[in-house]
This record gives sequence, C-alpha cells and structure tokens, in this order.
Amino acid sequence: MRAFAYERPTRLADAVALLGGHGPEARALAGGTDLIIRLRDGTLRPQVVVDVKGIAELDGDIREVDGHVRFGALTTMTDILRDERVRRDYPALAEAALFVGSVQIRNRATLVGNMCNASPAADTAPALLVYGGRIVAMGPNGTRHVPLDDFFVRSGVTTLDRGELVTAIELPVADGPRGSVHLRRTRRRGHDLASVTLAVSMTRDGTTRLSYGSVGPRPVVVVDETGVLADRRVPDADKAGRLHELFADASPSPTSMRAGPEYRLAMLRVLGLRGVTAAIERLGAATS
Amino acid sequence: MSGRIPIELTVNGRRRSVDVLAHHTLLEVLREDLALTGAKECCLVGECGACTVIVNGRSVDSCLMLGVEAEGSEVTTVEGLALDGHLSPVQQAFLDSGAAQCGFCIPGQVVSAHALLADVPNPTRAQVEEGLAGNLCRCAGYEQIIEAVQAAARFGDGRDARHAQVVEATLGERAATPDAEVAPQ
Amino acid sequence: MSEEGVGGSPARVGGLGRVTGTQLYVADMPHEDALHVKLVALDVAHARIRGIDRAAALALPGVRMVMTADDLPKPMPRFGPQRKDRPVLAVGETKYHGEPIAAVAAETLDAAEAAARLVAVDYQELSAVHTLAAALAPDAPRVQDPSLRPGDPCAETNVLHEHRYGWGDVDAALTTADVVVEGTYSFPMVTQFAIEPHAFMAAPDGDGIAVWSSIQHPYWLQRVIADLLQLPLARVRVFAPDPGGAFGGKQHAKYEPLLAFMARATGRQVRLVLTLEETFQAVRRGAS
Repeated sequence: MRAFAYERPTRLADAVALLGGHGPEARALAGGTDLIIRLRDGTLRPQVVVDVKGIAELDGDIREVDGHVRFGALTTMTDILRDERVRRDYPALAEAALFVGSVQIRNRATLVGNMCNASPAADTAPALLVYGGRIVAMGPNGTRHVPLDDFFVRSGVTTLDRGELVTAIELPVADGPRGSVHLRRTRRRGHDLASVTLAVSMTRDGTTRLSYGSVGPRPVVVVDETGVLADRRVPDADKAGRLHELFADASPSPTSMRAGPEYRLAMLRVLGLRGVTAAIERLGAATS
Repeated sequence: MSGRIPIELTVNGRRRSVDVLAHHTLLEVLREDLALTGAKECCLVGECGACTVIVNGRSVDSCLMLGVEAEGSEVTTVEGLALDGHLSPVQQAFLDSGAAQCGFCIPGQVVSAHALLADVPNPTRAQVEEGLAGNLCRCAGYEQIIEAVQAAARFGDGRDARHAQVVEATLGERAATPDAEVAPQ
Repeated sequence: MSEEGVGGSPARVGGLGRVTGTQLYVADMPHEDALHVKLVALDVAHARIRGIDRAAALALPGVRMVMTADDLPKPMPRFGPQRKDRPVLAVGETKYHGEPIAAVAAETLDAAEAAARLVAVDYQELSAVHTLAAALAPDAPRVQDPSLRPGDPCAETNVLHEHRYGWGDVDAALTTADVVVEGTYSFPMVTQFAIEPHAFMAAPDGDGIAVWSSIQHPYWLQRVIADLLQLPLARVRVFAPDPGGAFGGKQHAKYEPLLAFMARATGRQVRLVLTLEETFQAVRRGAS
C-alpha cells in the first residue's frame, strides 16, 4: 500500500487537532478491518493515519451512564457478544454483532467504526437504530450527541464534522419489557456481507420499531404505532399489508452486486413477517 | 532507514525489537522483518484467514493490522505453538486426522483452533465451525480439520510422550529455534 | 508413529512441516538479494498499445529495470501447452484484462509498486467480446491473430476448438421418436483459486538460469524456459516446492519466462508473488 504518516495520540484533544488540521487527508484507525482494506486497494489515500487506540479518554467498556448503556469507541464486536447485559437487554445487537465477519474480524472491528464507516449493509446499524441509539462526538467545538438516525446520510457518509471523533455510542436503558430480534439474508451461510438486514423491536404498548439495511443508501427506521404488527390475532396477510406500507421507501440499488433489487424487496417482506413474529414471542417471554 | 518506526513486541514468548514502516501490515512485518513465514499471504482482505495469528490472546487477521499497531503486544504465530520440542495437542491432532493437504491454510487453521480451545475447551461441532469460519481451505479438508479440533479438545492440556517430537534433524535449525535471530533486512 | 505397510499408520510426508509452519512455499523462500517484481497491466479488456513511458518509474530510487516488449527478442517469444501463442509480455495489443504490458524490478516491493503506478501507457481501447454470442458473431473482433494458428481451420474465428459427437441417423430418429430432448448447456467462468497465489523466482545460475515456481509440471517448465532463452536443458534448473494447492491452475508456465528474461537482463535474482486478484487474471477460464 502507499506510504502514510502514522500518529498515535494519547490525548483526545490532540487527536481532534490532528483530524481537524488535516481534514480529509487524515483517517482515524480503530479496528482497521475496513480502513486497511481501502488503504491497500487505494480507494483511500490519506497522508496521515491517526491510531485512536492510544487515546486515554477512549475505552472499550460497556457500562451504564445516566440512563444509557454506553459503548466506548474501542468496544469490539467480540466485547459486545460476550456482554451479559447486551445479550439480555439488547439481543438484536448481540445477534447482529455475531454476524459480522469471522472471529478474527470481530476481535478487531469496533462498533463505532462500523457506524462511522456508514455502509448501508452494516449489520449492527438496524439494531442500534431500533434501540434508539445516539452517538457521542467530540470535536473542535466540543461534545455533542447525535441521534443515530440523524448520523447516516448515505453510503460512506455521516454527519460528522471535520475534526470530530466519535467517542461512544449510547442506547437508552429500556423502560419496560421489549421483544427484539435481528435477521439478515446473505448469499451463503457463514462469512458474508448482508444482502438484507432487519431489526425489530416491540414494546407492550403495541409499538413496533423496524429498521432495515442494505436496501437503499442508508439504514432506515420505520415505526408502527397502529399495533397491527404487535397483535397476535392479526393474520399474516394483514401484517404483510402494513409492512408493505412501512417499507414503501425502500430503494435498493439497481446495480448492487450481492442481490438484485426485486430479491431484496421480496426478502425484506419475508424478514419483516419473521421478525415481527419473533418479536411477539420474545416480548411474550419478557412479560410472562 | 528513513521513516521507520521502532517497535517492541513479544513474539512467541521472546522480546523482539524491529524498525517497521508504518504502512506495512503485521503480516508483512512477521514474514519479512522477522522471517516468520508461517502466516501466509492470500486474500489480504481478511476473508481467508491464512494470515491468522494471536495478538494479546485474540485471533486476528494479521493482514488487517499495521505492524506498528502491535507495539507492546504479545503475538503468537504457528511457529510458537510447539513447546519444549513437542507439538501442541492441536498440531498433533491435525497430523493424526490427515487435516493437512496442500498445507497452506494449516498455520491459520491451527492458530484459530488454539484460540477457540482457549476460549471454549469443549466445543460442539457448531462451535468449531463458527470458530474456524474465518479460515478457508480450498482443498476442502474441512471434515478432517473439524475432526482434528474435536480430537484436540479431548486431549485437553496435556502434552505427553505420545505427541511427536519436533525433530531437529528433520526440520533443521528453523524449527528447533523457530523464532531464531534474524538480521533485519 | 511410523508403522509401515498395510494397516499401519505412517506419518504423512511433509505433515510435520505443515503443522509447524516450517513448510516453505515459494513465497516463503529466502530472497535477501532478490529484486522485487510488480506487473503493469491496463484496466481494459482489449487495447492497442501506442507507447509506454518508463521515465518516471525508472527515476524512482531502487528501481533497476522496467521491462517491456521492446526489451525482448523479436518476434516476441511465445509459449503455451497446446499452441505457442502466449507472449512473454503483451506486444502491440493486450488481449485480456490483466495481461501485463510491463514489469518493474526494484530493490524493495514498495519501490516496485510505486514505480508500477508511474509507468505511463498511451493506449487506445478497442472493442472486446464479453459474451459467447458476441464472440461468435460474424463481425466479432478476433481475439487471436490467425498467423499464430497455422493450419487451423478455425483460425479466422474466435472458436478455439469445436467438437461434435454423434452417432446414428438423427433425422430418421427425430421423425419416429416419442420424445425429443434438446438443450443448450452453459457454465460460468471458473477459476481454480488455489489458496496459494502463484509465486515465482528466477536467477542467473552460472551460464544458465535457475527458476523457482509453484508449478505442477517442473520438467515441462524446464523445456519451455530452455526453448525461450535458447539454452540447453542442462543449463536450466527448476525448483518446484509443493504448491499451496493448484487444481490444474499451476500446470503450465505463466510468468516464469518473463522472470527468466528479467534475471538475465539484470544479472540478479528476481521474485514475483502474485496478488490473489492477479492470480485470477493469470489463470484463464478452464485454462491451466
């Protein structure tokens, strides 16, 4: 790969200064499972690579802070799927993390990096979206919180400003029982990028949140407040109709490699029904 | 050399100092600067696992790490698995079950198997499949590889006289001291 | 563990080397004084080469040579198992995506890669055939020069071979059969994808040449090299360590001839390890 300067700041302020100063000529390096590939194939050619793993203020912890479960910037996929609280309270996220790559990839890939990379197929994005996640970013103008839904613009593009670094992702602690699940379609069993991803989260008041990815330029959240999807007595055909309305904005790329647009839309509907059924069961188990 | 960054790391139990270029991956540093050619170059995008090594107790694709990122780390490669002249249970099991055909994927498979068993000492078949899902074998030796990992799990920790000795005469100096001093290039 | 004979369980030859990582494949072999080679290819299927400017590449520190067709004997030496039609380097035209038009030799791989990027090629993209139908069309551009196919009845077409198998009186049978089954069967492009990318070295060896290759047929390679470099067989040594899989894709010479010429021209050992992508391009569909 092409040469670059390597920096490993130990203070957040220095990292922000480096990223702000160099702008697009600098890239942050955390897990490296996306960045290194693009450095090698030349699609990214930064002058400076800023390794964030030495920054004292960043961590890979998962802990509760002010009514949120906070995932530090250095939290890896392996950390997530081993965490008891995540498996119990945010199972869709644990399921999504398990789908990311292989053991080797998960041991390095960070949740925050996955979000900043903003691939529409990012496995963890739909789960974080249905759980109402927000990112914590620190930049030259201080710290701000951005709802994840406002963070993604399109493939590879987020609303991070020049010089900003994401220091954590936070999910609100659930205020009641919830049934949630993550599903996806891939070309083959095992290590593959998703053709369609879907997360579903359902609460007792009949609200269902769904988020789909890889069917358009960014992951999308939709909410059903009619209660139709959460109602065991409603037949699948009626649920399918409601899902059809909710998924109306799904716009798969006509040129995408992994799966054609018709297939993705068809699978989205299939996953929608399966997801809703699974969420009902899990909600039932959580409330019984 | 201009632009080189000095790093110190522990490789297979020995402290090593090496001056690396920032844009060289850990795989390149291991193979070129440290003459440890066990980890292999294949896809270089983290899909085939031929480059798998263990860093700070976790298996990683060394093609997706920069050498500089390994500063201060403990790295284990396939060359570091045999101890005191004896193959590890995993290595022995791979020999016994005929898991190695062309052999190119085997260093990565063996290292991944070590990492799996350190984590899950008695894996189910599904756990073996998931644990080694990041290691491709194009000779399609998967059945024998899975058998080997399950057999190694049954060996437990013990390395006993049944395990083949790493014979110095057969393998030469490279194997007897697999991490022998090499002058940096 | 070395009981011989039927019913015994002898140790597998080479097993110890494989599980300890001490087995040396070509890319693992020591190469302290070797020049590193990178191939230069165009990102098109078919092109006329108008000129190759090597000045910028040659000006980089550590670059020892940039070989093109101009540095090779005229007419271009050719080789191949069925027909001697594969040029050592593309001359005049490239015939497939990935066909090398130049090769850089430098003291480090980094220098070779940087120099390869600086080789400036003036070329004109020509129409290519991308489907079977296009290849069979009467006005299809001809992939291979008919002068390279003397005595071949298909020389003026893109058909390499046509095989017809048949027996009996088909017309008569058609009129009396109860059921007629007809079909056209096709299969996609395939590649062996052995896990070891192809790797080669060559070095001057006394007044001859030594070649290292992952090749499956070392004696055939010896003859090819001897023929191309016009050396007696006794002056060509071939070292063929166990390949990392081959499945037919390493039967025949690929870039060993190129390296042999480069070794002769530079007086140095030269080493070329293909990337996986280059391996897919070097081994053609169904080819060896």
